[in-house]
Amino acid sequence: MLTKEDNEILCRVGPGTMMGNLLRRYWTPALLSSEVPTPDCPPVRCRLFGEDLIAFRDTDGKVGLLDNYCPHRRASLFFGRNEECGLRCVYHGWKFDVNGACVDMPSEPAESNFKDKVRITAYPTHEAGGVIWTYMGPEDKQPGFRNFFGDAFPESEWRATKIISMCNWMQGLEGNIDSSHIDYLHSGRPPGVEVKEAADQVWFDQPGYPPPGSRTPRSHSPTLEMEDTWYGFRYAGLRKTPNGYTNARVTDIILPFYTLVAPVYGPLGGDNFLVMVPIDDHSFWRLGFATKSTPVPDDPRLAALQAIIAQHGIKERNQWADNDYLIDREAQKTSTYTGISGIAQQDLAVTESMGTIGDRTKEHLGTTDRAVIRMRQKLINAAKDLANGIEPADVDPSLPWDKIRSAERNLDEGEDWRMLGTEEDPLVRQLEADAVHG
Amino acid sequence: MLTREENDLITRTNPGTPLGDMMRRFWIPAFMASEIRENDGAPIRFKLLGEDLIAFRDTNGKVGVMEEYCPHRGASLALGRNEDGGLTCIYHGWKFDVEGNCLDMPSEPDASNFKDKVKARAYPVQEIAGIIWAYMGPAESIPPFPAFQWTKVADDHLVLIKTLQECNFLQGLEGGIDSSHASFLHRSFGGVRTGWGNPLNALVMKDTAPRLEVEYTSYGYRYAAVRDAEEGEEYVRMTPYILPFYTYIPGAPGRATGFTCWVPRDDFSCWQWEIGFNEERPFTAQERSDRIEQFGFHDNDLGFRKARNFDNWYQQDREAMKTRGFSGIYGTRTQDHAVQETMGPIYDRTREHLGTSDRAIIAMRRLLADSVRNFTDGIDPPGLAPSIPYELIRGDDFTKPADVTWQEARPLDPGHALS
Repeated sequence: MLTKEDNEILCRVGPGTMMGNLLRRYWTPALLSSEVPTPDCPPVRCRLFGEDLIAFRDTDGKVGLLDNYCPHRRASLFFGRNEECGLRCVYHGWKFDVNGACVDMPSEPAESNFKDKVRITAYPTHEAGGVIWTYMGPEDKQPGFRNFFGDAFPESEWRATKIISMCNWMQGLEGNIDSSHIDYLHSGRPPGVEVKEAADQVWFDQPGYPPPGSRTPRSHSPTLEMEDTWYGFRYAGLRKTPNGYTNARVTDIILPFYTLVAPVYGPLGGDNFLVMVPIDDHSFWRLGFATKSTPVPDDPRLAALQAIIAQHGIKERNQWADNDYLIDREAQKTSTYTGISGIAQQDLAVTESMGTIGDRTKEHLGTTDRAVIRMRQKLINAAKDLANGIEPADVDPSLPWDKIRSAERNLDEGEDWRMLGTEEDPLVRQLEADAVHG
Repeated sequence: MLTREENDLITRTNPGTPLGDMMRRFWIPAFMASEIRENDGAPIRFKLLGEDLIAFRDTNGKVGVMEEYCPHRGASLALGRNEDGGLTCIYHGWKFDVEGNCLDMPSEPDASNFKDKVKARAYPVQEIAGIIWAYMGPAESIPPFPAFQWTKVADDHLVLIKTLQECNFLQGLEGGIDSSHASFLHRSFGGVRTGWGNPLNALVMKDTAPRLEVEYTSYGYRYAAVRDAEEGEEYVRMTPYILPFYTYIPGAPGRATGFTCWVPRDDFSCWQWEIGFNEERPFTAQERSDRIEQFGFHDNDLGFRKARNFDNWYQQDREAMKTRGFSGIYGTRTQDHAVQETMGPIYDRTREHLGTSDRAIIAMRRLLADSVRNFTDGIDPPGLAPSIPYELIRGDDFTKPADVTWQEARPLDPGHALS
């Protein structure tokens, strides 16, 4: 439970808010590379932290992120002409480059130097992993880029997509570090009905990493354990298996809004790096993308993902509050848990149903909400610290950002989950050796 | 005319407002029982007095009304699984019974007693006369049920209509105690009662400027609109106002007549109930469908919104205004909604001009405002005393000799007199 004041600090991200100031100290995923795929392609609207921006890729392939409003008389640059290394307002022909300089002002007399005095707000950009990142904070505080990917991550394997959510970003983020809900919301079957071993599925109830396509039967009330790290914290959802082993799902929380969800390098690499980017206080983008590459070539989901990326990378939605997420009450009774189809859609349904900004003065948190509590505390503390002049330390680009890994493993006797996904983990050593030699 | 402060005082009903707190001391019609017909069927979500609520009928047929948001982390319980005697949140499996007790909390360790400490905010309900009634006030102040006469008749003697009205409840209520407008807004040009209006009886049409007189009672007041009739006689339409938002349509005992209320949904909309009842015999199927159509509510959508609404300017027909009825709007109750909704979500009563025919409206506002002020000083509002014979309250219309007062012609029941 939070006080009303802390709830406001936690959720509001507009210019000048405490959390808004904190988020603006980090590089932020602004849009997908696939939204502005080619030089001189149409500009796109990009609302971020309550600010209306326009993104465009210029003739040289550089990406600009400008204020939506032309500094002249504030027409939207969305309608602009993207040509010859700049975006030109269609109202009076004023033209701006990716750095915000006014490079042409044909409506003024030729002898005027007015264009040298006019600038448009432009945020710096950096392209990595299929995402265009930006920095919206004070210029003198701009850190280097936190490279989550490693230099070797090839463009051919970028798999970034996003889907919109119509509620505050914090509700989405809380769901990402809430191991418990997968046993209910995403269980896919009515209560009391346990998964049965299927012919095409390995039933994995023994120590070790579950092989791809296998399933580990386990209890439905995880114990959550946490460990603070230099980038935020990690936590494990620990569940007992029928044979008495402990299944550990380890998820990393990287401030301010990144989660690397179990397991180590999912089969798609992709959707397990989840980022909840506030559009404003009432909506956010749920981004999923790959940080590492271990795709299974024939996985049909990979082809589906690539088809979405070819169409700008934005996943379409047809399940909304207005149509009750197409909930099927008959299916809810007989064959599934929610009656709502789609994992992401199940998340959207419950998080959006809390209201645009959930009222955390009225909640009741249990032991399985420990990670949610820790994450809120860290964010609120960091926002309060910044308001008191203490800058966040985790913006340092020299830290090993590409070595953060999640994991899922059935633990051996005496094995500690904290080792999983680190350099001490034998699987990690093997994967890194494969990467070097392969 | 009201001051801005008074206008707020008697229109705002969210939790914590003076009127909202007072209204929560009454049993309130929440929704039609038919909206959750099936045991273990889909829950519904709705709003009352500015609160987001859900309702469900459990495995044993018991009805639960509770806050929409799961006490855990606030997901909507309207998405929930309704089974085995409770509603289960689909986020983490927390399960609640109709009283709000947490029956199951499978996401927490078996040893935990957290579930015994968590309660969902649930309201007591009663299922009476095809309506689910809720009590949203403090548990220690729960009043007896207001057993109106129509709540005691068999279901087939009733026609229940619930319609979304897109304005503050008070605008609707004011129309219910405004005898004068019937001569204009609801006037039809034909000889029979249709959706275009009522063929007003000669007595109402003969004198369009009724004299209004108010008599205060234990439940609110009753007022008479007195019109000149034949030589030496007067025609009286008598209407009770029952706190907090009920009225009867005037009609002689025995005849089919109506009961109406405007239940705040939030400050900008209300549920308008139109309850027809006939003490003597069931409605025929034809009477039932005629009645619903005459009000203009036969083609409401699934959200209880009327087909002729603000967005299509009530389909007002200028040609029909010349030939069919005074308003050119089809549906007599739709006509009321049209004039009341077009005043705006909350009418600005600092700008109005009231005449003598608005006397009952002035009295209602004063009674409501005084009751709210008294309530904040700890005095119960009228209508909550257990001794009030609710079944004897009703409207009436009759003709009387001019030298007999309407109170003499229809003496007030002693149980309705002010103490």
